[in-house]
Amino acid sequence: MKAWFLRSLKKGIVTSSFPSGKNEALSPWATLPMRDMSGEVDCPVDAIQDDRVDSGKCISCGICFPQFKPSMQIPQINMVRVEKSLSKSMKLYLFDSGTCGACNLEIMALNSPQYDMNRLGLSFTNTPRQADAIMITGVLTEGMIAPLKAAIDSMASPKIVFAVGACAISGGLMGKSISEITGLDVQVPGCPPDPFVIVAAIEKARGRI
Amino acid sequence: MISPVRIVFEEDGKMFALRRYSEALEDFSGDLLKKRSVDLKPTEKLSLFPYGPSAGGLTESIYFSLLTSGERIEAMNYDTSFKDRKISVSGNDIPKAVLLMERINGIHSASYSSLFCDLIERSSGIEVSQEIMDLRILMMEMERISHHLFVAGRLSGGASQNIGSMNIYLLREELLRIIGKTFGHRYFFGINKPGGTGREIDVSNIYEKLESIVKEYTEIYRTLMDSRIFIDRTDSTAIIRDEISAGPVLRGFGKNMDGRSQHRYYNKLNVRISTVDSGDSLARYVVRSEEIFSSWEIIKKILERNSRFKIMEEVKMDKIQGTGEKISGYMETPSGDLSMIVSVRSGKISFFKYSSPSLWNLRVFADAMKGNNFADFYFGLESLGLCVSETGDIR
Amino acid sequence: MNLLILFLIFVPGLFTAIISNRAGRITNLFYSILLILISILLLLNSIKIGDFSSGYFDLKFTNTGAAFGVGIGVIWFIMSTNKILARWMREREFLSYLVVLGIVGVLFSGNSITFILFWEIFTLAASYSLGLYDKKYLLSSYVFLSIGEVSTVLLILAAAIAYSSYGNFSFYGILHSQISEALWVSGFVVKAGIIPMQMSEWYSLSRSGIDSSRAILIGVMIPSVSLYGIEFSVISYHLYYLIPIALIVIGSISMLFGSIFSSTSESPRVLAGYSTIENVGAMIILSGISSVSAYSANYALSQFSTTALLIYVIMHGAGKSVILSSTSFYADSFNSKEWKSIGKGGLIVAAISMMGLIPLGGGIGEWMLLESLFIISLSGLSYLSVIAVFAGSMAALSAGISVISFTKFVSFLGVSIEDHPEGSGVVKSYRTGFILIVLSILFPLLFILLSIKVPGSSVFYSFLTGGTIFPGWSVIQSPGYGNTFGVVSPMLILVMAGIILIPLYLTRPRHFRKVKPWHGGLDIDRTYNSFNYSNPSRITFSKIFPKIEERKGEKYEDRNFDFIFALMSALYVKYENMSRKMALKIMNGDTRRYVLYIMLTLMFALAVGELL
Repeated sequence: MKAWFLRSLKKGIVTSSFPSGKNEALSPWATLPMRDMSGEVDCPVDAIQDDRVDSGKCISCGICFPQFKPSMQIPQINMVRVEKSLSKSMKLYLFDSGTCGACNLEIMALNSPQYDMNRLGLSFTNTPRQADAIMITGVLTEGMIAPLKAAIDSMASPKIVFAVGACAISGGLMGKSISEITGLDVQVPGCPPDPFVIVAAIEKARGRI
Repeated sequence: MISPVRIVFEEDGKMFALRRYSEALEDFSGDLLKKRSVDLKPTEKLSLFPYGPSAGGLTESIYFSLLTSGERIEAMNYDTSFKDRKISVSGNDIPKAVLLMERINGIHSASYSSLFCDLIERSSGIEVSQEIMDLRILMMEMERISHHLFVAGRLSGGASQNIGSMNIYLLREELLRIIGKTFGHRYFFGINKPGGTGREIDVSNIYEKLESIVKEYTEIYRTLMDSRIFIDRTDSTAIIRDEISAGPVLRGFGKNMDGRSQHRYYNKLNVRISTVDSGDSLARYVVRSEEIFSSWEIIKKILERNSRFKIMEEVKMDKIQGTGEKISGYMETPSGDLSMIVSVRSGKISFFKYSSPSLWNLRVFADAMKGNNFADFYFGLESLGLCVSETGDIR
Repeated sequence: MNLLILFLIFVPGLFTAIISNRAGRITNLFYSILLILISILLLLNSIKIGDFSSGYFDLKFTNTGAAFGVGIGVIWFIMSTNKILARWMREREFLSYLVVLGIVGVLFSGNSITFILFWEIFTLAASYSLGLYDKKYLLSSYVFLSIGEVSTVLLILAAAIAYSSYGNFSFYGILHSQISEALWVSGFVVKAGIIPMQMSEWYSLSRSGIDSSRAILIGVMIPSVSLYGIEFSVISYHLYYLIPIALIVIGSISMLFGSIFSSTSESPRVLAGYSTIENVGAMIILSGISSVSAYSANYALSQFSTTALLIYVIMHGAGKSVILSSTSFYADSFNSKEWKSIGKGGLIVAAISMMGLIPLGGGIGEWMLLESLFIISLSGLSYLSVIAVFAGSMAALSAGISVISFTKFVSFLGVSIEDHPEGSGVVKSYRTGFILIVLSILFPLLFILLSIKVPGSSVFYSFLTGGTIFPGWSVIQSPGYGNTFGVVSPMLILVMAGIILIPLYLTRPRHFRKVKPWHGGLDIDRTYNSFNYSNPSRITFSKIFPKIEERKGEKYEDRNFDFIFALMSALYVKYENMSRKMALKIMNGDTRRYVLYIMLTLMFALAVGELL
């Protein structure tokens, strides 16, 4: 007990002030690549067209290096609408429809002291019935279609559907997109998205940025 | 004792098998391990408790059904097929297959892609330099620390050690940020390539940061082991003593077995293997914690002899043609031993089979939960460090 | 009017029950109300009744019998309501009616042989009713019968000893010899299902295929009539002073262990079974106090504890019957059909009363018990004071633990209820539920009626002259130093009922939204009964008490904390093995059947003897 307390004092404040302050870290390849030098690039997911990179398709593989380099900017978040009524408090339900595991862990990282999601009025919930937003990760798999539909149906309005990661947005390298069965309110790009990108997306969707 | 068979396949009417920690295929005769089938029928006294596929507390989609009288679990079943992505590796060219390999299990991508690249290299006779091997070891050991920290955080959080859990998550996030900055990606995507590496990596200034993380974890580990509550909850729950299990589960009941001890890559690195005898959740936690320390010892040796990894392409990936010969190998992922058989023919993957540690651990876990307390299910599950994504139907 | 005529009024119900089960249910309800009314009228001296005697067959009216008649009537009423609402198909009305008839006979028996005759009638009827329908549950019938017969044997021995010295079967003869009175009282104590004889109580509840109405019959009514036996003996005659002290000790041990085992139980019916043991323990303590205080000529305390006992009997009868009504055919599941008919509200009120919380009747009984023990502990008799302090602390501890078990009961109430369909059916069930709430609250008010001083009362001393206990209906007056229990009294119950329940009833939900719970995204039915979902008390007690697992082959059948039961059953197995060897050597037959044969013959002989 005492040991924990002293540790906490010694550690000081580690929590980021993002989004009001600057983000402390950003994984380079979680940002959108930018053209750096000329040359042909064989993108495995056809995300590159005329020097522009489709953020929903890019799987952060780095095959376009060195022609493209990470932009080191939080990518543009595509979203359909802003839900201001959830700006004070929002409960998130994490839904895994077929991930490699990385996206889930990046969303769960929001719980860690560096991000401290509770300071933003965010918390995870155990059932979609209590959720304001559903964070869908991974490609659409056959077995999860029915649970996904049930989860979205059982949420009360207003609700926000987040598609987190390239797999959910576009199907990525190996599957189908979530958009085949539901509309995507917010698209969080990356493979996997950096936690700061996820925070930025959530805050934008609630109209706080 | 003979190592259990991990992969069995049939070709030209003959059966071949690959055993745990083995690089050589052998002829297989005898009975196949039966598919685990437990009939769960609710009775007057016993009821069926469904958990999943999508429920709070689960990191990935998996379905458990527990036959329970309320307090005690009488039988348990699991179904990993819900989030099966049905990935087909064979038929793809090598660059795409490497990308797929990273995404079979995203949080163990370094282990998967390292093994895959190693097999491709062996199949086409490419000799890689010690530097590439060192980079792969470095990535796999950092991945191991990161995964073990995550499991430790989940387990201590489940045992209501929330401050301890948050302290561990804090360390893990620090580690992931170091990895992200150094390797360009928090989960090592896009680095491993057969015969080379994809990026230039500068590891000259990560030593101190990693050392402080391991040092801090040592303190947390000691404080947790002083906590009566944590010990009480994890002690003697979900006792597993099954030889077919993998990784920390195997070492959790006193088996001194680790894929790294005989592997070519880890030659001369003197991997320290820690074992605990009791086989319970606590034992697996202790094994994981000790592995964090032994991984750090390995990382230290690697960092002593390398400070920068240049882009290395000894052979262009798309030049590899392959002979069609089946090459098999293994690697110790954070969850346990991964075995894989690959063959390459005319630049494409013509055969792919693998066996993931999570599948074996899940199987023994389901048997071990019988007779356990219902509330202890969570500790047992979290102590496994399960990755559902790698249990899918991937060919 | 003659008592025989009064008794014969109840007999036609038996024939109705033989003819038709449906008609039997209605007659049950009718006769239960009749029993309550007649008992109250008898107590108020509004109807005069004459005793009946023919040969050895003797019926006699006592105030104790009539007071317990009210309690038995209340249990009978709730049982018959449950029968009508739940529509049990396998019920044989004839047998359950025979049990009640036997019990009514016991209440008005005038001598020991008549008493034993009626005692045996209801014991045999109850044990047949336990094992009759399903061979699977035959063992529960045997357990019940064997412990029931231990009690009968003790009673017969007491009667025989008295007969040998006095030449008649009067109670006076039995209760004037130390040996016979000890045997006589311990006969009832065994039947009441105290520790270590607890399996007669919960085994028949938890391991048998009886429905909830017969569960009430066996789990509530039979302990109540056993308590009548104890209290009747204790109140009418001065007992040798060690007997009531033994009663206090046995009662406090039963209370403590009953409550512990109840809080660790895995099914609602076992919870109720062990909780009955706890409550029986409390009532046994109270009858011990009433006897020991009469022995030391403290009649005020004796009257106080007797009133407390009667409140306890009626409140326990009402509360436990309502709780048992919620259990279904099998011991460990709630029955949704019954749930709807009883209503959640009634169950919650019953459970709160069982917790011994104020302002419900259970709380008043609890307080009066502890107050009596306080007074005894200050009485100056050194050894008795020490016993009273220990008994009081055990009683208080067990009351605390019973809060755990009934909180668990209440908190898992809602889980097994199916989705509420919209419509009138639900509203109707609410009405039934509120009727039961009001009933369970009104029962202690009967005592306000009974506390009016009855002139010309003929018993040794009138324990129903409660005028000094509830002065002005507004407080409970302690006999110790004239202190009162604040404003908590039967009057308060009435006021609280008005304040809490009327707005609650008026603002009850009228529209029900159908909600589909989240089952992990699958469209499956959850059969999980979350009654035992999380059981912190079990996990706590598992550190203190040994866990006994019954393993059959590879399967765990049950996990039991009841080490006394384990000990007794181990002894029983030893006894059975030994007797089998003995039987093979000496008698060349089966002892168990032989003993059964002897008992049945004895009963038959007694019945024939009575008629002659």
